[in-house]
Amino acid sequence: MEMLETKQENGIVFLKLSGRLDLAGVGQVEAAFKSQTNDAQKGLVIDAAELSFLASLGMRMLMMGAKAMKAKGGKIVIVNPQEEVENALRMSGLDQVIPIVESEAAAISELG
Amino acid sequence: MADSVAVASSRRVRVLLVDDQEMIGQAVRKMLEADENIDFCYCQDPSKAISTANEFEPTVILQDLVMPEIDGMMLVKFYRANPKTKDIPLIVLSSKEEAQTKAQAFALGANDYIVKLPDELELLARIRYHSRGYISMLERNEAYELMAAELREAEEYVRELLPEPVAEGEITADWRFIPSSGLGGDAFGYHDIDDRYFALYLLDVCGHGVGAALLSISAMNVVRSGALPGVDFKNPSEVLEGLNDAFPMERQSGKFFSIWYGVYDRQTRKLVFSSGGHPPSILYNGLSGMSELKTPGLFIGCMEGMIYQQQSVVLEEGAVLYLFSDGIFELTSPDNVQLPFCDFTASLGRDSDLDEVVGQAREYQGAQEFEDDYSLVRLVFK
Repeated sequence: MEMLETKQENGIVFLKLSGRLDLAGVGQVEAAFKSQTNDAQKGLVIDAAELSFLASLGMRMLMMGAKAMKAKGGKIVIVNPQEEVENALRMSGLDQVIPIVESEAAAISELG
Repeated sequence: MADSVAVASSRRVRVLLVDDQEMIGQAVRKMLEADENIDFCYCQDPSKAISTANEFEPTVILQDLVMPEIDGMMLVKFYRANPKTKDIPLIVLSSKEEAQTKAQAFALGANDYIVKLPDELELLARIRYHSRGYISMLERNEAYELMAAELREAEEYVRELLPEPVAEGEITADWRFIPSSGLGGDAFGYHDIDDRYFALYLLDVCGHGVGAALLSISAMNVVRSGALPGVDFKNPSEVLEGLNDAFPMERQSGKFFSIWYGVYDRQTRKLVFSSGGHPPSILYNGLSGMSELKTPGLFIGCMEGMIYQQQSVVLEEGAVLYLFSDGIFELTSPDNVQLPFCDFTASLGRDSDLDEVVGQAREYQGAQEFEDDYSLVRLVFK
């Protein structure tokens, strides 16, 4: 599991998640992800194109991040997830608090 | 150093020396005598080395290489093949400083090599070093076994909460529950609310372990006993909203759960249901084929004040409904391919045999143990 910060612009942090966000994956990236949610003022945009699996603990990590962002008026937006990851996000209802979009431009627009 | 071992652990350093030369036995005994935290056992007969080791339970074995009748290297192999000695640190004693002999000893499983007779300080240092590592390993194993025993106890408790299968009557029910090794926090049930209404539900707490099981047990008990003040348990969306208020993740160590909850009305044959963050249930109803029953709701306990929707469907005679948790389809094949959800639902037929469904899952992932709890409930409405 890998997490890369690709850039920061106008209070938005752009991340790329690759691999499996399961028990082991969460263990590898959770602390860094939490730190990124602290840094992001307006929003966190996650490129999920290379995220191959999202387990419930991964959803918990995203949920905690979404709550932290909401507390300061921001959001997490997920860009371009693979089909099964998108299914998992929709099945869990997480898409109600973490919008799923198809492009970085749409994510920026989502964050206003 | 010896004191640190004695203080950190209740276990003592126990040294077994296997050497046919009594003079070496006496010399080593004398070297170790000064340390009252060390127990020493000398075995002069190499043919009794394994049985002596089994009985004495050393924390380190000093093994001579050159002995009559039996080759010391052979004994090194035997120690490693014997379950009671396979992890005990093994220091090989040799009269020769030869790279090839050393390499062979290490290849067979020795942990260290000393040319005899070594300096007393060096021997004591090596004995303590290897014993400390071995004692730490034993203590880690014990802690792990204790934790595993606690998990088994929690698993038993969850099992006791699960309902009996129902083979006869208007509604029959059968299920399979296979907890993951780390206990995944699944729970499910079905019961009569009264003569007319029948409740059915399955919940899944995020994460693993006793913490997840504790939350699933608490939530399950609330649903079973209908213990949410002001909540009508015949109204699924009200139940989910009540649970969402009762179990905020901030008060549950950051844990939340998904749930599918339905209520069947025997008079009208109407099933009303609501789900929060949970996979859809699968329904085979009349001639209409398979359909997925779910409503768009977030996990329970994530956000306060969530509104949950509910939907309904009229069940025809012989309708079959499957409730399950994500552990049943979030499977990865040995070549790392995720099972697509649609492939899973396609494999779940109206008349599927539950054991065969479990077998298919095991076959797909190429393993018997599941990474998450496996819960599958099948209800038939006659």
